[in-house]
Amino acid sequence: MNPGFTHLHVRSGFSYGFGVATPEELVESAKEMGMDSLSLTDKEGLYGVPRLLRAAEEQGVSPIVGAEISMVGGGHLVLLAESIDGYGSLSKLISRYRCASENRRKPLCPLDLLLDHAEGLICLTGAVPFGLLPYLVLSDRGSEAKTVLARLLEAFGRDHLFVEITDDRTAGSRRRLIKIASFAKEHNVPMLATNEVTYLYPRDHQLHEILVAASNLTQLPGPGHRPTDQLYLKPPEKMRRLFEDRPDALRNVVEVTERCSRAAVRLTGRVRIPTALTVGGETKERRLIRLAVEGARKRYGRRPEEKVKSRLQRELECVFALGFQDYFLIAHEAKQIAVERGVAVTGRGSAANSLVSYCLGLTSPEPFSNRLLFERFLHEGREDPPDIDLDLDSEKRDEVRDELIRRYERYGAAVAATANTLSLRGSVRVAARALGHSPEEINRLSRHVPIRVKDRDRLLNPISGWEQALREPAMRNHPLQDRRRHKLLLDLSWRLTGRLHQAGTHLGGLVIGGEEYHLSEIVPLEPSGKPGLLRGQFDKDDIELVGLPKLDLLGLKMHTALRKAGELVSKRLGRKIDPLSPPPDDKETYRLIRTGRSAGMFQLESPGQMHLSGRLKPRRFSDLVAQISLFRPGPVRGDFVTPYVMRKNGLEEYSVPLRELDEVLKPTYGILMYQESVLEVAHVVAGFSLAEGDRIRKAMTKDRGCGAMDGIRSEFLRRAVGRGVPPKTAKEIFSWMEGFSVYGFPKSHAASFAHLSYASAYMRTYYPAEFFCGLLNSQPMGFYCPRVLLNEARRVGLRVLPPDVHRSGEGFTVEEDGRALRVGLRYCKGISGKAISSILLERGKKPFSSLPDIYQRTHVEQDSVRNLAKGGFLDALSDREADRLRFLEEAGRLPKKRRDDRQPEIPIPHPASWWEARESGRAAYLPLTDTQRERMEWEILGLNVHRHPLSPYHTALESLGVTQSEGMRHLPHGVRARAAGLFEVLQCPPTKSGNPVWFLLIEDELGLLQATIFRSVYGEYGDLLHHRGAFLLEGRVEQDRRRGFSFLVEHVADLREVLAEARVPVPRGVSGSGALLRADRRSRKVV
Amino acid sequence: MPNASVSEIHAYPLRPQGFEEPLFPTPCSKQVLGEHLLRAPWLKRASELRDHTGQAAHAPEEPVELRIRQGRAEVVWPRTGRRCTWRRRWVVEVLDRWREVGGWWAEERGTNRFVFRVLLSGGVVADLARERSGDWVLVGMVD
Repeated sequence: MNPGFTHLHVRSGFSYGFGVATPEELVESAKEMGMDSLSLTDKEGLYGVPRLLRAAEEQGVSPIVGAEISMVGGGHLVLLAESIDGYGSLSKLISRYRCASENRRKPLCPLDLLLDHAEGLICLTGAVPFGLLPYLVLSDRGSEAKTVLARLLEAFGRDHLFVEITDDRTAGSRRRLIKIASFAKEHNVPMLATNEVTYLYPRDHQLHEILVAASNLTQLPGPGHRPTDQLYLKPPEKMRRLFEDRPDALRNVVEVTERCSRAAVRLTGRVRIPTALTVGGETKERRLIRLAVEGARKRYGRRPEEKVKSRLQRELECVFALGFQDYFLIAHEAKQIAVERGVAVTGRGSAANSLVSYCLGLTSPEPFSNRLLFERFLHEGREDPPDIDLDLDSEKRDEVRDELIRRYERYGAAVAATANTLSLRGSVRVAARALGHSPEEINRLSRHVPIRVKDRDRLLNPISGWEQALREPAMRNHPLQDRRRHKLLLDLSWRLTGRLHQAGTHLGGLVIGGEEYHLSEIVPLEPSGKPGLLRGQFDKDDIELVGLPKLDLLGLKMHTALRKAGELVSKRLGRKIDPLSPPPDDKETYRLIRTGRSAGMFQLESPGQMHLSGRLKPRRFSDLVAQISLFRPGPVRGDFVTPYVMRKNGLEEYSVPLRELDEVLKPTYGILMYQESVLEVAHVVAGFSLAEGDRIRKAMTKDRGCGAMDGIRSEFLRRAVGRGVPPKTAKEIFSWMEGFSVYGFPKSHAASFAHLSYASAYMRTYYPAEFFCGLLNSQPMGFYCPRVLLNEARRVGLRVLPPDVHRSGEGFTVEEDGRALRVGLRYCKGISGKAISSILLERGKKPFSSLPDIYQRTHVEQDSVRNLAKGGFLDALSDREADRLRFLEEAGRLPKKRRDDRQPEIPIPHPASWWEARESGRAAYLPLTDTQRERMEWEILGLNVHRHPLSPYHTALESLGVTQSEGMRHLPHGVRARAAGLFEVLQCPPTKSGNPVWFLLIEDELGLLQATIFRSVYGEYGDLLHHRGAFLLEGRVEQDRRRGFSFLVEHVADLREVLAEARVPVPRGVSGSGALLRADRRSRKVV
Repeated sequence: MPNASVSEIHAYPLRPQGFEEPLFPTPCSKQVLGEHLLRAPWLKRASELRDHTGQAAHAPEEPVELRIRQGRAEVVWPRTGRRCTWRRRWVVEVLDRWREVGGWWAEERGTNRFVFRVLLSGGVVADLARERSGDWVLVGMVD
């Protein structure tokens, strides 16, 4: 039965702060209520449109696209797209006024601009009482209301303008409605009933009010608070009952719905390839051929082999057939811009499967030797847009992106948005602020609340509710344990978790328009917050739903670190060293990787990879590709690691179900590890083309339902049996493929990364000082905090020189011909870039003579001078250790700095003055102890400059029976042992069994040690792990033939309690990306 | 202040356009104004107004009973009520209805109820609220 009502004014969570439900939830509920169409009219944007269109298609509901536009002078209007032209007008209108508004967070549309974009749009005058017309009418500005109505009528026409009537059932709502209805009747404008839907259910009004308060940064009730719970997705019967006295307004809903549904906006099902700029008179096709052929000659010599030629031809034919040549040319242009500007660039992802990409210089792995298949990247049957990802030096990525945007301004170029959702911790913060808690209380309430760790779309540590969250060991003695007191906060924060919160910017996801359409006609553009950079409103993942290919120009810190290292090496050696072109198959490099001492190496530095390096023993590039692929959530859950290691080391036999598969699976020892292998298996066993094989792979990795999979299975079996494969074996192979393909990893991606891994390993092997210097000057990056990296540098034999205001550079510097590193000024807490520059400039003119001299001649502020003194930068100004304390006192006496360049009134005492010598009170200070000095440096620099913090406790730890990390690995199986170290990372990665296992990484004097903690131990000591920074671990060593070394923890103690009176500076644990907890890289607070 | 709103006069935070504002911030101000209005020759009862608009005078929320008798609704005051001299009134007409949802973030001050503006026999216009518990209370009299 058609209930004959459609909600035409609906906000979703994409109204960011003014809506609660997702488009999917709204569509599903509308379907359940029997509505056959639903509109989405988010505030100031079309953010949710791709998801609306997808959900509507899945549910069989007709989508109506629109937006709610805030007007200059107050009030809003609702615009509905009647056709795809209307969608274009709306998108352009939003782009225009959002880009022109003074306040990007509260954009306002001038009426004149709106009237210029009326084509194809239906206008509703806004909900009562905050719509444009109700706002004017109810505030007794009738004449203004008449003028506005007349102008709207002129622009939209009588058929396309409706006075919106709503009843939020607050006190006086009927009276207000009557007033608006009378106004509409008086001016003979038809009415239309809506409910200004903002949430799904009445009880969600609380969430809405909290989100509004959050967006205004206020507590409840904030400005514009509406005491109603009626803005929910009301069933049609209720809407009809609510407006039973206004049948014409209900009839008009049906009419508008039919008009908008007749030519519903369809954005999906078509790939919109951007248009590349033409150069000279050359066609795009010829240009791509020329570039590819030139590249092939460069890569394979002047006369490439036949297989190269034929594959290149096949790939180009496919690219042309799909019309993707412009996309390749734009990617090539981006790469060229980077090359011209000296910015390091490499490719990643499935594009490395393409020989064209390789020849264009977009990717580095050679497709033939790495068995990379073009069909995994592109084939004629592919329906979604292609995806080329380029990694650029993160400090220079913006240059390349901005230049490309400048070149493509005429077609429209912008970066993609990200739709940010609230984590449980974020929800606690948002709800607590709305409920009126003070900032200190909010910090207390939200600290240690578990956050979700996401790996792509999968949650790694899902929390089922507060019950579970409060049981977490980290939450012991937490204020939220008082459930009675915080009942409302707990309830609200849980309900807010996962809700859309605010739009972010994907700084590297570039989208470009084309000749046929300007980008702003497809996706509304808005300011990103970064000057001059526009952002498309669709989320980075949703943008592909509307067929817009995204060119990812990603910033990679490893490129930055390698560039810096390369520059330092080149300077020291006096010849150009390119860190991205190391000599291949260097034995020393592989030897270092095999030792597992790989801190700082790209993709090989995590404790898991370090451990795997020792077991896998890589000796060639393909081993590195396998190693990178193996330590991923998929292969780990699929339990590929141990069989692969065993088989590679000859400790386990392997067999393949069919002799023909030997060639495909021999390189991976019978394991279907790479996604590319699935294509090959389907090809070899059942004679599928590689393109068909890719479709099978996709079907297997995504949930396509039993029916679809049955069809694929029977087709596979039919063809395999037809080729003489026994039915039983064919069945076995198919289910084997099905099981493995879920966990497979793209080899192209791993091979692209392996190049950088090898390059970084090579640099670490031969130029360790420059390598560590590059890493330390590119922070934050990688797995380890700077403290661990510096300690690692010391462990490989480099000297760490103390900070010195006369010798320290901006960042770390290499000294003593590549044998020492000196701490840089940037590591001093609180010092500004301007202050650093002024120090570097002034000391070049004349050395500093005293602390007031530095203060007078540079831009260093009073508190920064204190920090410089505390961090040891000023030790060079005196020959006495105790002078650090004198400097601190002197810094406290300095007058506050004026905000101009010079400060001549600061008296500079003459260094040789007898008065100064007498007044300085040197005798009052005792020399600093080593631990005092180290604690000061830790607080200011966050580093262990002179020695590892556990060095002074060496004997004490030995007497406790502690084994150092290095020795621990060689202990026999079953031995009980003790380890001690500073906290670095706590992780809970996915496991094969699905049971949680925690991995604690600690650092002692000799290195890093990963300890395994099972559920019961974590339950007992988890709060210690979350609240302390140094541990004494007691447990058992396991030396397993299959899994190698592991240290299973049975007991955890706070090291500082064990070493009574010890003043070990320890790091503080904070939630970090990809880990449950990691040592804080910013705060140097001594716990 | 000829054009000042009630909010501005009482230095309240501004309310959104279209929302009524409380007229009496304190009992004293109510008394002064009430005495003035009693003397006003132009004063009419709400029941005499054409559209029955106006702000209800706040009464301490008195519990009342709503009974259906002879097919009609009747409001009955319990015997303990001291404000009213009369005990029961027929509901002649429901003039308006709305929801009151607010203050939920402060545990004890939250409201979540339906309010009905009714014309009672005898010409009194009153606001009656139905609480979530199902109990009825007299929110206030319009005149």
